Amino acid sequence: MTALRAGRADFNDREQGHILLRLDLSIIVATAALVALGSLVVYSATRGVLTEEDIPNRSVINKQLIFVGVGFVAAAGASIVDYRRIRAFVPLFYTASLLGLAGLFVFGSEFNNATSWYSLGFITLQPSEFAKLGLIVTMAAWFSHARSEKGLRFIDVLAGLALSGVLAALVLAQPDYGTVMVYGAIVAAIVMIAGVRPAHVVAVIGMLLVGLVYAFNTGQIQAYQIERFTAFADPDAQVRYNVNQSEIAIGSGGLRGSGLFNGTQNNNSLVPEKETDFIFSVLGEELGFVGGAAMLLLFGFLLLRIWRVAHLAENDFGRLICIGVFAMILFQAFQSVGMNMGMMPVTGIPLPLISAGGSSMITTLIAVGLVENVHAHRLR
Amino acid sequence: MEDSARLRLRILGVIAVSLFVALFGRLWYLQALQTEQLQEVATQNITRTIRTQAPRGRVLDVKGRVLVDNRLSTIVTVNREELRTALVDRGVRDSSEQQAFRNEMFTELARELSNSGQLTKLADLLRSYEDPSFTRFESVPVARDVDEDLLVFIGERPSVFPGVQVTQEVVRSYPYGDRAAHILGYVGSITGNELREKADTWTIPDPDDPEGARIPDPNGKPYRSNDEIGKLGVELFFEDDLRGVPGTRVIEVDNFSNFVRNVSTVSPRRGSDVVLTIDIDLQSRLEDELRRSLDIAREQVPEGDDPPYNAPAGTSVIMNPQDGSVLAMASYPTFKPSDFTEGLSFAQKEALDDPLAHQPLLNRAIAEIYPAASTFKPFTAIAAEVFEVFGWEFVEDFDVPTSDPGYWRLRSCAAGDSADLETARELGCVRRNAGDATMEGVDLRHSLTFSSDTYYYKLGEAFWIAPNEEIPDDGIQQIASEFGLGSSTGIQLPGEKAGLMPTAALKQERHLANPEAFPFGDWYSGDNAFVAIGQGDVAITPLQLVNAYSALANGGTVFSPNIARRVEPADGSDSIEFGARVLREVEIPETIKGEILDGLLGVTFQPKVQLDRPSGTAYNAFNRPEQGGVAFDLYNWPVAGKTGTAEVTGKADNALFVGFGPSGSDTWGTAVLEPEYAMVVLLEESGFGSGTAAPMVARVFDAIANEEIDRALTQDEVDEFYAVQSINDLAGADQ
Repeated sequence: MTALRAGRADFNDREQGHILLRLDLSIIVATAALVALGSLVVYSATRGVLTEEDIPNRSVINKQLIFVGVGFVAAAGASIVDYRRIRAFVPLFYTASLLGLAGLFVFGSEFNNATSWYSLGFITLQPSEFAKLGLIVTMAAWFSHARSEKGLRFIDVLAGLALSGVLAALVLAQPDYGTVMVYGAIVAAIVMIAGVRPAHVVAVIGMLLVGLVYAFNTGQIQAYQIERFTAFADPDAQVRYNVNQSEIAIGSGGLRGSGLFNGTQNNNSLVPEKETDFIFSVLGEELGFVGGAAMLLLFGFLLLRIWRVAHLAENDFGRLICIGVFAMILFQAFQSVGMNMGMMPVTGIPLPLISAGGSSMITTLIAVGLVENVHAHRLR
Repeated sequence: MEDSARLRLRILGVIAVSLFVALFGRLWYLQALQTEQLQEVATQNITRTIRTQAPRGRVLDVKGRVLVDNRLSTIVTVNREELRTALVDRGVRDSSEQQAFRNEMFTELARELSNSGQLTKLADLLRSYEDPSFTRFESVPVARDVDEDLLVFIGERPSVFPGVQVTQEVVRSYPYGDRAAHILGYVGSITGNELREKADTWTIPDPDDPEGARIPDPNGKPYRSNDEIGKLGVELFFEDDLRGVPGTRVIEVDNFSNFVRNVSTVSPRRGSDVVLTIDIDLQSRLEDELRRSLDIAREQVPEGDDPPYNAPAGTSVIMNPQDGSVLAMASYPTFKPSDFTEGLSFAQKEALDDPLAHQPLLNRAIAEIYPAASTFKPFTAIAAEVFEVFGWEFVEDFDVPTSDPGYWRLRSCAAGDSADLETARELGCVRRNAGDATMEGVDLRHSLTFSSDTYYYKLGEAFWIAPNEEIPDDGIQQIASEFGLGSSTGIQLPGEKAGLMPTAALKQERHLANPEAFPFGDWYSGDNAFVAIGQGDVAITPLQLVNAYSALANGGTVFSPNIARRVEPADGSDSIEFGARVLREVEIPETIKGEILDGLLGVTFQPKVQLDRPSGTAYNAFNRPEQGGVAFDLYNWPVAGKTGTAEVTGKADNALFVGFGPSGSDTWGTAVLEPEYAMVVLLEESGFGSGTAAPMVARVFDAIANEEIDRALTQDEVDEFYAVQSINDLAGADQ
């Protein structure tokens, strides 16, 4: 079917087929490939088998596969209902995100010194992941709305930043600096594509600096709080050790890798958090440059297709949604892989579609679903 | 979509592409350019190399009986780090609290060890635990050779004994108990000094380094702290052979150093066996006889104010004069090598160091020096014949009988010829026979048989006062040195002493080097006279003496004695044989060869042709059981020998006898035989050589001649014997 082919030819195609025929199949394939690759590596990182007699531990991978299933169903849902009708419910999403994050301070569970999770017995939910979706649609709605009237005014930019800032502040309070950075990347990309003027950017940065200096001088921000933000530039010995071990893992994989399940750095748990933040070290060690490059190419291809959908979008709202998802996946992939290879500071964020973790998996799949939605409804 | 939005989208695309380029670049750098280095690190990351000790080689006697073996011993070790971690995990963080827990734990451990039959003091455990030679990650042995049941008992109670492990290690065992202790030696933990000394052993030149750096020998046996090393005897001398090649076990570990799996195992290789020339049966008999002879010597009652016969120590060696192999070598007092494998207790250390213990670790046969006394005389006689002193001016020829007035008046003495005997004596110009004995018809044979000192004083002075171009001043010393007296024999045992063969030049040299210790530098004819009878500063080891007599017995071949016959590698490769090692051939003038042999035979034996003469100095020992001797079958097994009685200032004399047999003489109507046994006995502070030393030789040679050397009892048999004894005692007590 021509409608399924990518390219400019179908841009002018007036055919209105079934919703399933209007999806970008290549996005689905790339996403599914990344998820499959991720599941294999997560299994390798968590099976815990070292001798032939040992029984592999399947508890993590089984859970992960359930999340993948749930995620695909949710993504299907997110792609079917016309996103233009979602627009009216954006305030609801925003409020839900706000409440979800705020509720952590009452009902949240602390883990690794951060209160970022709701513990529901057999699973834990990370609201800051789901809130990314709220943030993306809110920002997309706000800036497409502001843009559609009299062009993007400075006050509109400030208002948008204030809306996102509230969510970011709640995540910051957990504290979860990594996710705040993802939020920042999403907002920055949306604001940029929405057409912010360079002067406004300079003004915003200036205001932020002045505010910081004021707050610092009046004692509202203590030095140690600043240090927390700059800590990644000067990691402690343990962090350096972890990154070092991750680099050793990736480097020792060489071009072809040690083979799935055969990584010694993986099997001996020399890299911490190897099924989540440091998942790429396992992939790099066991599948080598071939596997690592394949994964990067899949990400690159997925991002290219999302970027293309942003082009094709019927309206600014859809386009900005795509840009938000694009920025989210791009930033997370770059930060996570870069951190694993010792070129980015250590922050605890998952590698989208690869890392173990239900909230991230479901959130990313829904986000991809939203992009498909924009693609499916690119025609009036 | 307006153009600016398209532009901005493109900018975003460019940013994305550049980020991906950066990731690819880094990935390529790590996985293509850095792979080799990082793979090496990854391998080191997960492996640990554990050394496994190799069992040492065994030591066997000449008939293949195992004298030193290996056995498993159960030991209790404590790992300080594990103990500390266990305490911290329990919330015991305060160091004084930790110490309190430790003391409590060790008290409990001492109680359990004592209950299991090994009396153990808390202080001993703590002292072992605090041994600074162990790092905190190493397991410190605190008790050795404990009951095997503790393996289970302590293993089941990790909460009571955190960090305590009961394991088994290979240790030395001695099937014949303390037999041949000085020969076998003992092993112990390597000291820091030994470790430094051994640092360069087992290295080979680096083939890749032109500057001659050394790298570890891949087949070597490198040392680490707390390794076992030979400390004495054969264990020390053959350390490089006996030591096994340590094995290595490379294991994979996880992030917390927990064992994951074996990567590779190189099994330890047992060290080579050392086969000795010693016969343990003869050795046991010799040790028993030595102890018995000292007991007998102690029973003598000194005359008047003479020093008591303490007989604290003695030594005896039997060797084969035909090839220089040592058949038995005893030294008393002795020690138990097994005491060292279990680690010496404080009390044992003190006991060994006690002066009253008379240095039990000292092998007196090779590591203590004594005056040779009269046993030296044959060598003076040979020198006199070699340098033609016999027949020179006042010296009669060797076959001319003279009379011995009981003293020799030194010709060159300050008193001059005119002074009367008393004055000369006061001026130290007279050398006397023991007991001022007078003899008639003294020729060379007679002088040896009856041990005339005067005969040799005369020879000694003649050497000194004769013009040097005719007769060398140090002719006696030259000949004695050729027979190996006063220098190390080169036996395969550590710690051998050289002794001293004093000469005028040496005396001067020592005086100039250290005037305080040696206040006199001048050599007088009296000094030479003393050397002629093996007194003065003549200092030899008993092994040198028996080795020199072996040369007399075999016609002049001086050997470097062997105590090891061969080294047998455990892998079955060719063994290293130690054949007879000839040090030199000494020419004994044919003219007096028979005279000397006859003279020495006469010491023990009175042939029918000479029944008109008095008997030799050891006649009683070899002929009169009622005089403490044995009725020796000298006609079939003639023994040539020489008694010696060495004066030691302030103490009773050292008793000496050295001889060989069976050795006949055609002039005396016995069969001419090649002597197979040469033997020396030296008993400290035991009186006359004829009284205590000669009878011992007679008893041992008698047993050899009659093939009555009993099989040596093993330690197990001895233990069983004593166990039976004590049960009998108990039964007797019940009745």
